[in-house]
Amino acid sequence: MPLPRYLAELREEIEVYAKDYGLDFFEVIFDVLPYNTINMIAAYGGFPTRYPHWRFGMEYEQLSKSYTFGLSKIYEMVINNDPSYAYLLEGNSIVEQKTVMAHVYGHSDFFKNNNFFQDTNRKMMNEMGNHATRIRRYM
Amino acid sequence: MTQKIDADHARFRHIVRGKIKENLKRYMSQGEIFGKKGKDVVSVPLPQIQLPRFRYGNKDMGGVGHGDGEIGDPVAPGDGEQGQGEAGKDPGQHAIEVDVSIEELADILGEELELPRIEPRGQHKLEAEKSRFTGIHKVGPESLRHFKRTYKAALKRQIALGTYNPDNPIVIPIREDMRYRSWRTSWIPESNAVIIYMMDVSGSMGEEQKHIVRIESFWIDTWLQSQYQGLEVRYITHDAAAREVDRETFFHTRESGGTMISSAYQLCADIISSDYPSGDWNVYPFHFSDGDNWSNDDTRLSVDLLKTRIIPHSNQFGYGQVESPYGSGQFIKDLRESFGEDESRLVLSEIPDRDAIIGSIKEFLGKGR
Repeated sequence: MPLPRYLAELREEIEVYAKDYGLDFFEVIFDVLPYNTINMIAAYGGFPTRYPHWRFGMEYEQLSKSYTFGLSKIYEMVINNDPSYAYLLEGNSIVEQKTVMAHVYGHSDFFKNNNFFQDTNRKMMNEMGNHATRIRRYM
Repeated sequence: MTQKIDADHARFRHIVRGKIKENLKRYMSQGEIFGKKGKDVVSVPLPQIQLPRFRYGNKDMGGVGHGDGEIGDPVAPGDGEQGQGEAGKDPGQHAIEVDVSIEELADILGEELELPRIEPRGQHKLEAEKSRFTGIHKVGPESLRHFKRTYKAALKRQIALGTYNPDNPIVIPIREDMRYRSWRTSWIPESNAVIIYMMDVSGSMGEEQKHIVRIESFWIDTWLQSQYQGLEVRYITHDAAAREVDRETFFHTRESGGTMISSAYQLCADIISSDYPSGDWNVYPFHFSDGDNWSNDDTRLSVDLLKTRIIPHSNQFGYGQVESPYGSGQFIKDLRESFGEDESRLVLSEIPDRDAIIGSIKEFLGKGR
């Protein structure tokens, strides 16, 4: 789901602040998702398309349950990809969304510049998608 | 909303179901499920399910598959020397708790014990009334006016008459264009069932015996609930006198005193005849005792009550005899003698210990009454 207007405006504002602080990041694409979709993506390890396996179902069950009981809540998720994909939880307050967005820019800067992360695949989203397709074909 | 993860999740639930089935016997004899019963779900603790993973062999340990071998090489590395172990410090594996709905649990129970579906007794009571909006009428109250259909009807009429002007699209409905929602009332047949539990709480019934009764009644509840929409449960405790109690009291009272089984049967018969006329109700009385009745006279009276007032009005009467260190266990023999094999609605079951619960449940529920 694309960003609602108030968040899109905030995003631009925050991006300027982040650049002022000297952060150098990939373009960040924010998505606002309902809790069950966030849980699903979290169960998939942050990537929306994975191969079929019940292990993800188990993760999902645990995440959903602890969210339902109020034990845990996923505020944000961001993956090391160019552009970086970040997920915001629908229904969070504006303050929470702001903090999360600012935080995500920090992550993205780290992904881009950290020495250890230098050689990582920046098209991991596609890679994972391809793996999924391949495994589905074998099945 | 359907999600991509649904297939994976369903697969996981399927695995869980299999695990529960595997461990059903243990759950049934240990009663691990209790205390966690919510309204419609039961939390079942499962040992962590192992994720499949590759395990690598040890490198350069000899054995086949390591290049040219020599005569005398072992085919596979032997078992290592017995090592000296230290006390562990890592926590054990936590069980994860999985919620299972009562229906699903009943399903698993039914599959595992091969329980037949119960055929409710003929008389379906017309119970619930249900209204649904099913159609459209031309007359009705304004509050149920169907705007879209009314508009369409008016539009069609105007186009047909040639009075519709696309440049000035004003549609004015007249009386005949009006459309209203209408509903239909249907009656849903419902058959009702009642379980009447009777338990001997005399001095000879200890905690362990009561625990067995509790586990057994939980499973009977679970199964019958899956078979009937409206299930009522009544509880009677008795020593020398019987009284009706609530669930909590039923499972937790400890009394002392003698045993007069007829007192419970008397009360049970009264409850059946006053509250559950047999034409409308499927009645399931269950009686649990250690089988130590006070006198032969009382036993005779009990048998008489069963024959004349309880069994004729019940789908099935279950008597479970829990073995206790004090009881003589005479009552079940008396019942067997008095009824012989002819009364198929009487089910007798002996439960010497927890492991026997599963078999006993099968005896009680296996007839599909």
